[in-house]
Amino acid sequence: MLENIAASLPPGLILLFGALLLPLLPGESPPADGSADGIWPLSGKSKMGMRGVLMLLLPILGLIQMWLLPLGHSSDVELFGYALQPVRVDRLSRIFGTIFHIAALISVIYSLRVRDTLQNLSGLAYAGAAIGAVFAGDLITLFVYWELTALTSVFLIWARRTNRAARVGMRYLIVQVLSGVLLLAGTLFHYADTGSLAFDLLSLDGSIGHLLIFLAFGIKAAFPMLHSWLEDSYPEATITGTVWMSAFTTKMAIYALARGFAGTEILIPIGAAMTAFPVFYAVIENDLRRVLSYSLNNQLGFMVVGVGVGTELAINGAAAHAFAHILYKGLLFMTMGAVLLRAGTVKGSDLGGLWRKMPWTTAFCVIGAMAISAFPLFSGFVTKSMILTAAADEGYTWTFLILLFASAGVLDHSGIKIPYFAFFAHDSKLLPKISGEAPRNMLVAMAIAAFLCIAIGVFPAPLYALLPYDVGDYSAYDLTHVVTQTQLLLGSAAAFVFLQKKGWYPAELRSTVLDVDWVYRKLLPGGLKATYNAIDKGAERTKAAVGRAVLASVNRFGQFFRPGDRSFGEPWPSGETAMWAAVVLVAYLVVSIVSSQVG
Amino acid sequence: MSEHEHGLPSVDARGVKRVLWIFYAALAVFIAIDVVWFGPDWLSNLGQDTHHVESAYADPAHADPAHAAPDTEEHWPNAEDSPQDQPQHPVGHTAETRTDQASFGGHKHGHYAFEKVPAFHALYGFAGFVFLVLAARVLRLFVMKDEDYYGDDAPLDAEQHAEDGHA
Amino acid sequence: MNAHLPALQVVLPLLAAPVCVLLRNRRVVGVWATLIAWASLAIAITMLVHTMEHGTISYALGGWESPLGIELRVDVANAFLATIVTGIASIVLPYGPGSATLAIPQDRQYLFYTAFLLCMTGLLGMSVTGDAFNVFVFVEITSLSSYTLIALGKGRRALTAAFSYLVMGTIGGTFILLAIGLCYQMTGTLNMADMALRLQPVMGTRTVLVAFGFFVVGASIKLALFPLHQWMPNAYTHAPSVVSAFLSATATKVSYFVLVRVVFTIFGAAYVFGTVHFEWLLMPLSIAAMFVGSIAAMYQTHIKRLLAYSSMAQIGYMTLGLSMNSVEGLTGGLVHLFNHGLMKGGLFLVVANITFRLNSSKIQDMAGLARKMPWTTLAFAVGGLSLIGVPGTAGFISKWYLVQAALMKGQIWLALLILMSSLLAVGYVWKVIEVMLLKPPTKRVENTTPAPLRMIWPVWVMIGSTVVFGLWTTWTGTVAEVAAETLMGLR
Repeated sequence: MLENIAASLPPGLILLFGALLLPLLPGESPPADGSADGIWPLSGKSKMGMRGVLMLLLPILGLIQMWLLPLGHSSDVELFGYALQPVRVDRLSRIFGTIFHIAALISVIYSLRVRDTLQNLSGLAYAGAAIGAVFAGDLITLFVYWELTALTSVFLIWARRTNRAARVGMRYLIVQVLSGVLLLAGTLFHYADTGSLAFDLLSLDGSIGHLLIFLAFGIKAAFPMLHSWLEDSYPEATITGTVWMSAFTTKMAIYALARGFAGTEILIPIGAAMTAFPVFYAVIENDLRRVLSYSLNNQLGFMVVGVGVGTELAINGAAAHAFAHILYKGLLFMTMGAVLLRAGTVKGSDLGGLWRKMPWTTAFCVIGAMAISAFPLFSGFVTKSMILTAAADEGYTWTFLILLFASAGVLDHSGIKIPYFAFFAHDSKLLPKISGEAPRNMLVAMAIAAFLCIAIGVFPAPLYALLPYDVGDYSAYDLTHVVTQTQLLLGSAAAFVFLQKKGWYPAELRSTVLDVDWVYRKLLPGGLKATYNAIDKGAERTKAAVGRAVLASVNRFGQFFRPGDRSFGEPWPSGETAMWAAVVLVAYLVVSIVSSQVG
Repeated sequence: MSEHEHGLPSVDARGVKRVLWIFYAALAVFIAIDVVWFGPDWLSNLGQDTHHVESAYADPAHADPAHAAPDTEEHWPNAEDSPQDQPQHPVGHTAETRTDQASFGGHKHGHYAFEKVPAFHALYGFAGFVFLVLAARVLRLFVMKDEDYYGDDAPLDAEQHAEDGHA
Repeated sequence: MNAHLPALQVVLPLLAAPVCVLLRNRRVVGVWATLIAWASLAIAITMLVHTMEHGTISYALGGWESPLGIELRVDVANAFLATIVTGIASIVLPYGPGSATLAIPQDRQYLFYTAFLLCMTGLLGMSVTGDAFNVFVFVEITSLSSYTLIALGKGRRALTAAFSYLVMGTIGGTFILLAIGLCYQMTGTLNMADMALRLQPVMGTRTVLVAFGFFVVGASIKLALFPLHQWMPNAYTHAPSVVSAFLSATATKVSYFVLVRVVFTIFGAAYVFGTVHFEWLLMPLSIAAMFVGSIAAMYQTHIKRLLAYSSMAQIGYMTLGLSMNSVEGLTGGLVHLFNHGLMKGGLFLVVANITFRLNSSKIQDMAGLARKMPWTTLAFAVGGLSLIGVPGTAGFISKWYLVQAALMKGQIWLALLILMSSLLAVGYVWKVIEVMLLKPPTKRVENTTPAPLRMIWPVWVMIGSTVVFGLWTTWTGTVAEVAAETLMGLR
């Protein structure tokens, strides 16, 4: 009975449509001043209210419904003559679906004080879309959810309601939608080639369709050079928004890669580069949420390597690492969100000594830091070692060494830099203004995530049982693993102590660090402007010779389209229109004469 | 950067020292395990190890079939990343690795000979970290700009429409 | 009875129009015009059902048999178009008084309905006639009445906009008349089917070539094909919003249909695409329209002008479908004709609601509107999603057909261009939504109230149907395909 009800519904829809009920329920309106990202005034007591209850219920109901679906369950639909499969349940989609629900639940608890319903609504709908995507059995369904995640999540940025957020959101949206368009284009090619829309192993075999799909996945998975949307946008979302965003989009892309491109060799160097280059940026970045974004990118690299290696152990490793990663990365973003809420900033240069005011948050941050650094007994250790072992098993020596180096890098930016500069180091000038510990709901959310980080690390068997392939007798806990990994971490930490004592560790400075997005934020606009200016200047010089008509046509691009005197945006006088009619007529005659000559 | 510059003692000095001592002790312990436990093993194998590994590699029967997803096997020939002349190629090793893990190690195992060098990971971590930080400092010279470099906080007016067009 | 429907379709609104002048009272006239529109819709639907089942209806006006007399000829394509025109009118007319109060003095509102019914007469006439000269007559009826409708807009700029449209429309009308004249000279007949037959022997002559050229340019002006679109942004901006909604949803569409008729029925695909290679001209212009229109829309600061430029881009999709010279392409064009009529009509009604309350069509004046007019904002968002072509909306279906048609022709680059231009639509739609949803409300917005219900339901009928036709595509798909096959002479 219950199974039948569950089976009639695609996973994710409970969250997607349940979220739409939120505004219909009675609730408190957001604080008038709009400060602190719509979070209820810090001192005041806050009732959870009907909306809070619904928010908590949705992920729980969704998780139950998802687990009622048996493995191998699928639904087939025919739409305009195309065979679609909106739901397909297998072990790979189930582990991602499970962690997405858990992440949604933790994010909901973290967001319970958010009175800005727009944020909660889009967060839940976004989670629902991501869950739907990992259960999509065909490429069209995948595309729909793929675009939905973009359209819903952008509001988590815009909800900051600043000029900066408006700009960042638009950039984010364009990149995300572009990924969707590439996916759809690739799907059409794929369909034209194979006549099938099923989303199964695609492989890069030289067909354009698969390459486009690969690029679409690559954008959302933040491949090197396609990555900058991530570091650009995540740190600019609201306090709670970043927590939501850190869980879904990129891991959905990892899932899609594991489904479509497992064992694609090019992913190994791509992933290795992804683990390595962000750590350099993370060292010098000042905004700690942006540091975490670089760190997120680096962690994705490990998963991409796992997908590229493609053995059962490696795919297991990628899935397990995604599972663990969502928890500890979410935890770290939550602690930084709490800092942002209390201190009003997450700039490393302005923080320090916060452990005096926020001891619990400090403790949770340290747990998250140890988990991401993969200390034994923490979740990162039991999952990352699978990927490293798989890479070494297949003989990717250089990849293995780069991953080891990147592990040392992780320790630097997430293991040491985040907790050290936020909570320890020298006391911040802001310290007296900080009123105290994070609100209780936030602490609860962090506690749950921290508990899971340790639980998975100490007792990984349940997670292993969830993995797509049978884990067999693999265990991360043997003497060599424990000793070597601890050595690596302690050796790196010793280097930190050494560099600090020498005064060589780069200070936190207020700055903007340029990344690939510079190309489309500065170079292209600047270049276009310069080009137009040059053309303008040239046109000025030849004005007398060439006359007004040419000058108008080389006018600046923007001027051309914007409403104003003599521009495209302002309709031209009738006389000119009549001239155009003549021009088209002449063009028609020319075409017909040419075609009669050719034909 | 250090606390002396600002004159604000952060965590009190004694606490820092205590933490550092614990840290040094732990590092020493883990290096000691490596040297004392695995060291002799490594020394005694120095002469023969390479030979052993090579022969294992040459014998394809040692390859572990469980590690290849059957349908994708042909897609990943170990092209450039695993040159054939690397004697440490692990395929032959995996079977041995499994048995080690089951017995919770009497001697150190690893995929590559260099991993068996005592304290290799500690040294690699130290060196990697120092390289990372110093390289990042150099990187800073090129990519660090003023905080308001992009001018993203400026109010959105007519200019914004121009941006939309370029994006 | 069914045999007389084509005549009734045209005569009913024609006779009803002068009655408005006699009735005068604006409420009575409003009810009267609405009833006429609904009756016309019923006729159109009956004709559509009939033609789907039994094929073409031919009606000889005054009992004079064709080719001598005037023939009204209704096949699935004509009936499809008549249904669209009357359907949109049926939704827009009940809405009329509300927004018209602002733009037109109350004692002259009966003129609005008179002109509206005449405009409808002209559009329906263009849809159902089988006579070439009749096309010109109805084009002129439509044009003259729509000049009036546009000039009813508030402010003096409405007059200049109407005048500019008048000049352009006259040029277009003259071109069409010239073309008809040339064809008459060559064939001695005005009946389209007859003309097509008699043109066959003289196809090679330069006169026919020129005649087709005049037809093309004349129709292109009327349907606002780039670069002959300049009358449109001003006209839609300064006309009353209701008029913009009606004209954008019907007038350019009927002109598109006339072009399709001229291409396939009179001159034939073999001549147009085989000899003249019309697609060499039409396809680049369509693509240019798609991109230039969308980019221009991004730069607009007035929402009505933004929608007008968006229309220009959307018309590019339709003509692109025509230029592919395939059943799939034409089906895509016709489906988009219907879907775009719904969404643009709906969006202009949304704008009518907004301007009714805000008394401004500047985008920046709509900051934070979502808090005060949530349903209207939601309607705009849904309509906007449809313009972008998000799955689940009608816009997706149109683009799906067009992309399929391009792929079937093997023109992959064309499919990519269609997808790229949808990306541009995200820019101009989301720009507005961002302002409405996230900007702090302006004073103007703070003091406003939601639109009255009688102005909200027509909006939601239109916007709701974009979603309905985005999910349920059997009807549009089948009818458009049958219509396309009929037009191309495959049925």
